[in-house]
Amino acid sequence: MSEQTTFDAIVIGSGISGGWAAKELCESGLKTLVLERGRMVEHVKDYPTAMMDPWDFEHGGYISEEEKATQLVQRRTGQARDVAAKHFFVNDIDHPYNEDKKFNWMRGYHVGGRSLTWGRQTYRWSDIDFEANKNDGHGVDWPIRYKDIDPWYSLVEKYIGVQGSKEDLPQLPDGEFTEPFPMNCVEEHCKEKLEEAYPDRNLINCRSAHVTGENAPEGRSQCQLRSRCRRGCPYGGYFSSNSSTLPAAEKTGNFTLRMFSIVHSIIYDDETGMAKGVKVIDQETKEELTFYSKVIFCNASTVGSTAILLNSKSERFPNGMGNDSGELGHNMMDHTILGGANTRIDGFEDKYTRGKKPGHLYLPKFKNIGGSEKGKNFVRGYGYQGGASRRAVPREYASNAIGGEYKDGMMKFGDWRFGITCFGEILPDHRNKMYLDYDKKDGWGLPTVTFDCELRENEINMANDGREEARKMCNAITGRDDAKTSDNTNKYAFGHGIHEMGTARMGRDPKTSVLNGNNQIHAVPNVYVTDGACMTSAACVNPSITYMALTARAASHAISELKKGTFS
Amino acid sequence: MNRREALKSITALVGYSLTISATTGFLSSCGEKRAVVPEWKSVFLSQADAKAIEEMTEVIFPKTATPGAKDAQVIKYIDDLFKFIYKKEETDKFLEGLKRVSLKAADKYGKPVGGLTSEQYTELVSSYFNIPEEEFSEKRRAANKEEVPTDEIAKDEYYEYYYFTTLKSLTISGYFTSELVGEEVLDYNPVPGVYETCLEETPETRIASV
Ligand SMILES: Cc1cc2nc3c(=O)[nH]c(=O)nc-3n(C[C@H](O)[C@H](O)[C@H](O)COP(=O)(O)OP(=O)(O)OC[C@H]3O[C@@H](n4cnc5c(N)ncnc54)[C@H](O)[C@@H]3O)c2cc1C
Ligand code: SF4
Repeated sequence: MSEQTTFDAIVIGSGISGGWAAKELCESGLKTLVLERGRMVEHVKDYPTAMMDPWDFEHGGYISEEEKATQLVQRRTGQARDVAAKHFFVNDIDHPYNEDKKFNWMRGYHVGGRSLTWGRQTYRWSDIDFEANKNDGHGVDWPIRYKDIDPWYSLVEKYIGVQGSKEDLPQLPDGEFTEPFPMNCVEEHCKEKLEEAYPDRNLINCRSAHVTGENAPEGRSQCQLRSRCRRGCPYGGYFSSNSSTLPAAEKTGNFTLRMFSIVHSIIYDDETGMAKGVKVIDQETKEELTFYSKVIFCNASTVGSTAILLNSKSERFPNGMGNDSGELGHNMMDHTILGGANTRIDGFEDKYTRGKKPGHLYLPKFKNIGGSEKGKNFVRGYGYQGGASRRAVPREYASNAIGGEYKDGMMKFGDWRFGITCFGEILPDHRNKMYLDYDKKDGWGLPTVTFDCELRENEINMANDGREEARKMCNAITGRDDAKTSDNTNKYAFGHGIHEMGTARMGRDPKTSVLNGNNQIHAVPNVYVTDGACMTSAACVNPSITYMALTARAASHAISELKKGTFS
Repeated sequence: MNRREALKSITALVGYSLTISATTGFLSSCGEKRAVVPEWKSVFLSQADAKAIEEMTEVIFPKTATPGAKDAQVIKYIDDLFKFIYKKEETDKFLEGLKRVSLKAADKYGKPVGGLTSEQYTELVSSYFNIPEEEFSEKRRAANKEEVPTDEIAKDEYYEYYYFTTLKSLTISGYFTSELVGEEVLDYNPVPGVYETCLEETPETRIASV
């Protein structure tokens, strides 16, 4: 039997956003093809390390130099250095890219994409974020506001399961939360002291896509507090495409998943003024294939989707599909993670915790949100992720200590420490860009991606302020003057936040943006881009929930357009 | 997936599991688990070197109310890392250190380093560690540099301190990632099910292993 090549809808990529597109489109009755460039990762079955203890790993969990050499770029982030998760990150030799300026492009090519390894932090945006570009003139105005996305956030949160506490903060709207992970006694203490010293700041429970409380989503169960999420969770305790949206899509009978299918480009049809299908290269056979559909969702991740669009050249679009504005590939954003502060907390020497929370605390942004606190030399703002925990007595590998007492001492708890790390907003800037290098092709004959992005004054000033405020807050908690700041400026490269976004931005004007308010390419309305490429600004909170909500919203739009016959 | 793994994932799928208090003290039978393992054969080190190194790991981490380095089979871990992970320069340097330590031991005790009494091992190893912390750090730093000193005494010290500081690190990491210590000495709680926010510490309380 020859392979089916025509579908109602095609979704490119099966990660966080692609999984949502697949679920929504399939559930509406559309025959949907999901094209995924990597291998299968089946929920539970393909999490080989999920239940492994340190002693179960070969060679004590160390890997050889030869093996390290295959992931030299991915290893710039600690997550990929973890022997238990490295198989969810790409092989850098097979998947090269170019850096005009250093750029950390952290990713995994397999079913589920980075939904398997993500940090699961989940925060809504507010109108402070949606109006920021308009108010300070950086980038272009968002074509939507909070009220447009609010119901979609709710839909997504209810489906994926988000634990957190309601706080009634204008800069961080509440959502549909299940019971929060409890704070430990030192976290409660720090919250009290910090909020006493800074009445306008809030130290709150983190919000994350973990299942808590009574009602677990279908086919999943409560998080077991083991903090091994990035290996894949056999309980389905956190949200991934693999545990949640893809099984839902599959259940409809309308879902076709094709692995090892590298999308090369989207095919433009001059007659209809729309896209008619996609060109695919089979990853294993290198054969060229074509698939057709009435509507196409680009969810290959920010960089992946942008590369596909840039490579989709036609007479109508010589510089890449939808690139009338010249903004495709530009305005790359991320979040800065340039440091924070931490301190010892005294007075709880006889207390300890058991179990491992996979998420601790959040401190939402407080500067430039309309209150009394203004950034002296920067616009926008930053928030912090953090928490308090009691550490083991340090191991002192380098000291001259040996012997039984020394050994047994290390089995005890040492100090409690509280720490916060600053996540800062990066402004949209046309100069921060990615483009394709046609002289350097990859193993499948596709042009490689080159990055040319850097932090500028606003980001650096903001990060310096964030570190300094972190130090002051730590000292306010302890009443001492010895908090330690950490400065990652030398280690950070653009992309290190793993929140790359913005290279096919939404906007009101086709002259300055790639997508409209429904995530459709202005000039090619049956192509929707709903991964991070669509973002018009970056805010300072983790973005994936916003990609999911925009995807669900755009899918609903596409479904109704199809019903109306707009794309036929 | 091996059998052990399969068993573990079955437990996983049962979902919320009862948490058994793992904070009970070290059971005196713990060491036995390893004692019944058949005679272990090194894959990289010579049997004689392995024997000597193993005795020295026991000086670094001796048996107390909790197992020692020998119980935790730290030597097996070290042998494996040398074969598969360490670079040749590093293992060569380590073995050169052992050789020089052995020569000194032979001079002093009149027998090869593999045949010392446990008191003699303790004396030998301690003589390298029981020096003021600052002096020790200086020697450690010198030993971890690339350039080898030309002076013979300094050269001995260079290799010997490389050997002992490496051995100490390996003993700590091998011990604390061993199954014996992880499952039976520390608080082994792989599927907690709950986050306990504020427990009272007792003298028996130990840190979590996973
Ligand atoms: C360690 C880590 C921690 C993170 N923490 C957080 C967090 O706490 N909160 C948060 O909000 N976000 C976090 N992120 C970011 C989050 O993972 C991404 O924002 C999210 O996964 C993006 O979703 P996506 O659908 O755009 O892309 P992905 O999830 O990356 O999926 C893209 C998919 O497309 C496939 N693909 C790519 N190119 C092609 C092609 N040409 N043809 C076919 N298929 C293709 C890929 O193989 C992949 O499966 C984290 C990421 C990492 C790695
Ligand atoms: S912490 Fe929770 S979600 Fe993460 S792996 Fe463990 S059980 Fe699963």
